Amino acid sequence: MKTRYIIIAITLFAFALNSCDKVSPPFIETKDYCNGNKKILIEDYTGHGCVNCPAAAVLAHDLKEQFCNRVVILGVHAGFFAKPNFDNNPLFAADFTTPAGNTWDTFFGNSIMGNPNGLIDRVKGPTGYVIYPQSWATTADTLLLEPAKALITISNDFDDGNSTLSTTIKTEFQENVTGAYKLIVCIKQDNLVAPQKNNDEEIGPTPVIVDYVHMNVLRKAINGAWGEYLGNSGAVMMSVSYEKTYSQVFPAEWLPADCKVVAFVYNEASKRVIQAEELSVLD
Amino acid sequence: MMKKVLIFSLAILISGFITAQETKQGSKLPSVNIKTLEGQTFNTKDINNNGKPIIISFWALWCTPCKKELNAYNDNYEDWQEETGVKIIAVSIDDSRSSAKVLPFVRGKDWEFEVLLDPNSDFKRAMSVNMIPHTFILDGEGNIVYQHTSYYEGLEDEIFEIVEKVAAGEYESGTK
Amino acid sequence: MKKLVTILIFALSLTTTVTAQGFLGKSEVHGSFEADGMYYHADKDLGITDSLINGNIFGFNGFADIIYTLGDFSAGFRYEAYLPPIAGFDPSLDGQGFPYLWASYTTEKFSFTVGNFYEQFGNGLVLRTYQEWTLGYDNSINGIRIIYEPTKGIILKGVYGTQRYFWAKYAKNGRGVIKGFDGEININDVFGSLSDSKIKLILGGSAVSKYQSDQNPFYKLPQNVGAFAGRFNLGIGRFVFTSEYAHIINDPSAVNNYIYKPGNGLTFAGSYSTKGLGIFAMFKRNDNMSYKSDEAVTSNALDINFLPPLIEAHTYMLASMYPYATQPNGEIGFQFEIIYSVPKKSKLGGKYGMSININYSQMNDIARERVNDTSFIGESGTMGWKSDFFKFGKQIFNRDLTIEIDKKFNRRFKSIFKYIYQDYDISTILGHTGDPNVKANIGIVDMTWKFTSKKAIRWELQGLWTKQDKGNWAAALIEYTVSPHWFFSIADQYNYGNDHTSERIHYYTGSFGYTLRTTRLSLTYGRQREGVVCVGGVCRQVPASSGFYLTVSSSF
Repeated sequence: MKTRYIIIAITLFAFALNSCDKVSPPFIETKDYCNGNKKILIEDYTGHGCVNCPAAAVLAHDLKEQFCNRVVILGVHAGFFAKPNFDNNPLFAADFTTPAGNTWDTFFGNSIMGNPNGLIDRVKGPTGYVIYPQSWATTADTLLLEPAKALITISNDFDDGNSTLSTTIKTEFQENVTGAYKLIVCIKQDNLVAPQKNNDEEIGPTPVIVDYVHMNVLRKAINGAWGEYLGNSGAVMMSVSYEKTYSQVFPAEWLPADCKVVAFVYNEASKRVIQAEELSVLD
Repeated sequence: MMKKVLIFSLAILISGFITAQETKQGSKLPSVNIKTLEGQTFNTKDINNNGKPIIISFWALWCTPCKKELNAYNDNYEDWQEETGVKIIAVSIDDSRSSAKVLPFVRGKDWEFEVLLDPNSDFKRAMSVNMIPHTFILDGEGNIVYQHTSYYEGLEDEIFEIVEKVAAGEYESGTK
Repeated sequence: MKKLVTILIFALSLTTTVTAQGFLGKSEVHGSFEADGMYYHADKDLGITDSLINGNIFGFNGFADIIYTLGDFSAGFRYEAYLPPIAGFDPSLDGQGFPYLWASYTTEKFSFTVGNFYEQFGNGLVLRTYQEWTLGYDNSINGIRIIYEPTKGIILKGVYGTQRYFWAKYAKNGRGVIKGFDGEININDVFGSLSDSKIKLILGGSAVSKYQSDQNPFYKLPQNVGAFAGRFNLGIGRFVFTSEYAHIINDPSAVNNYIYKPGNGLTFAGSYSTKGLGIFAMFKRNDNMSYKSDEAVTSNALDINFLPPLIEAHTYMLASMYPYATQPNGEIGFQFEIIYSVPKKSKLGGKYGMSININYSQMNDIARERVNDTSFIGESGTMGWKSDFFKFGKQIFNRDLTIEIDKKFNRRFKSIFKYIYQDYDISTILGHTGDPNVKANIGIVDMTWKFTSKKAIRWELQGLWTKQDKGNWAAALIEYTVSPHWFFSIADQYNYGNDHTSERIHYYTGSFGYTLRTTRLSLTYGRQREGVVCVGGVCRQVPASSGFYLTVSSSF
């Protein structure tokens, strides 16, 4: 009798919990993301020696389109695969690494996790800050549902004569927030042509795309790797406009037409980015 | 952090040496379902040699020192059995990569002792075996009286000395 | 907090050894420990300019595994610490805690386990959870397991739970929940009249399903992914045939680029064994067989099933330079092996006989075709590809021919001679995109001279000759052992044939060790080759390292 109960229990237990779904086409779903003023920051940690990285760059670009341009992409070249003269090969002489990028890479642990990978608004996932490309869409989707805690407005003034950019960042908080908030302002550049290792034939020739066009390449964090406090020691209030102005001289390689200013505000303790914005230098 | 690491390693070393020296109460084999070479289920509680000693040795096809140890036992098995009636059971922890190859390998090498398969390391885990080769000697009542890890040339002589003592009822667990 | 835990472990180690004497009379305690530490330093020739690997000057991996038994009841735990993980281990392991905690009640017919457990259904094609300390791999299920044997010859198993993912606690809408059921029938035991038959037959079947909520905004993902398998094991006299077929309904994930085709896998092995001769043959095919708890994970974690690589596992230094790794998205191949013992006292065998072992194995890509005119092969959001079941694709992932001869010349002297020819797709397997297949000839001589009853010297000479990748290598090893306690060895691998003269480096190591019953200590000093590990579309650099490596292990 007792054994019979056990048999029944087990079989019910086993089969009741087993189930399977079979999905029928269409397999792709679309959502409308155009309602919302929050923009997320996708940092793509990459390097010219990384064969799987072109695919990640394509993904970031596709996500920006699918998310109705509510994405700011920053390509951070750091770590083993971004080394100049990678693999002792003079073909990869380009050096797109930056002091800020290296600092962030060391802090968030990107390159030791293997490339490509990224940070999405610098949120922490189950195994840390680093989020692999296959999880970018899922992570971004959740973040885009939130209303923007702050709005950033950028205004740029570029002086051709002495190649100097003067940029003003205005931050207005839409709700009361606690904690200390900092602002990081960067310059990124598009259309940098340099060889890139590749293993995806649909993106370009393998194993190297000699005339690969690097986009969104971080050039400099003009107010330091960890930025500056907004207001007094970071404490901020709603409906106050926090303004900061920076001046940056552009070296010859930074073509103003290809450059953009990227500004993002983050919580100092959690490192979480609450809003990002970008604007072309010549706008 | 380095200090903590050193404390931890020291703890292990000390515990290891203490346990190796002290007299240990003999423990019996745990009850685990593993498989015979023909794929039949076999429970380790059924390991029995009618009051005579048993050698249980964990090995795998990819473990060269393990194969050397078993070759050494095989070379001496007839003599050992005549003198003490000892039974050798070699438990292979090969997983499904190579567990189907164990039977033809054992026959091809003409190994005379019994071989069992533990493809998901259930028995290995229950016996707290970490690295292989790892060999146990059991007395007539099924108590573990001796265990050893690693194999060096000539170890089989020491193993047999212990088996002889166990067969004669003269071996005290924890000595040597 | 960490200090407290360390002291706790220290105290626990001492108390368990003391209480092992007679805690509560009938109960028993036993366990095992291991601590591996690696201390790096700068090495100009290897291009290491400072003593830091991934920002750390040392790596430490350690564990303590304890089991308590009291009659039919047992419980245990394992404490693990990676402070930080040694170079080559997944950096997500950084941390420490109790990832393995369990309690179990087992009688003759019934077993109930709660907590973390390891289990395998059949050959593991739909479910296998296991742990491999040397690889930092652990996909244990945390939940419940019931095993029931209603009558002799029938075993039923049911499992339910979530898998370990490094140190991440299970969160709702995180990784998937697994449910599984397996039944196995031993026909000879169930039908008593057949118990003496020369034909032995065992049948088995499994059904597994994982549930993960669809958080992906772009793909309509199935929330319950089911997988089924059927198997048999047939013994007829000297022949044994074993086979398993598995089918996964649809599991679009990051590993297969979100395609909706079903997965299927088949293994079929046959062997003939008689005294002095063993013949083995195996056929294997995987088509879209990756089955993980989380659709977004591509690293070496959260696998529900186990896809064994079908090749000869090589352990000698140069023979393991180009290791094969299973390609879950598709592979097809076979293996054939003969093990023959030349009889003793024959002309060829000599006084002690001789053992010959020949193995040939080959793995190819499967042959794929487009599903229809509008989708590419492997395009995401489609049915992926079509593939004829038994057709071999053109690309050879790996094939090797191994010939091994073991001969004992006299009581003191024995040797192993080994020749391997390998054809290796380094582009696909190691991610060296664009590089041609490596074709290598490898020769190994391994000799042991036992000059007293307890002392022996063993030496190895190895060579690897190839025109591809890094060119030719030579390696040598000498080992001196004193039974039962000591070993000393020095070894060197030299890349003498490298096209770049600056890369012709000696990777030397020296080690010694001491074993006392079940406690083993070994210290190695030297260089380790670098590598790039590519798993699931992400490449991680395993840096070359130079330094000390200490391992201490014990069990009681």
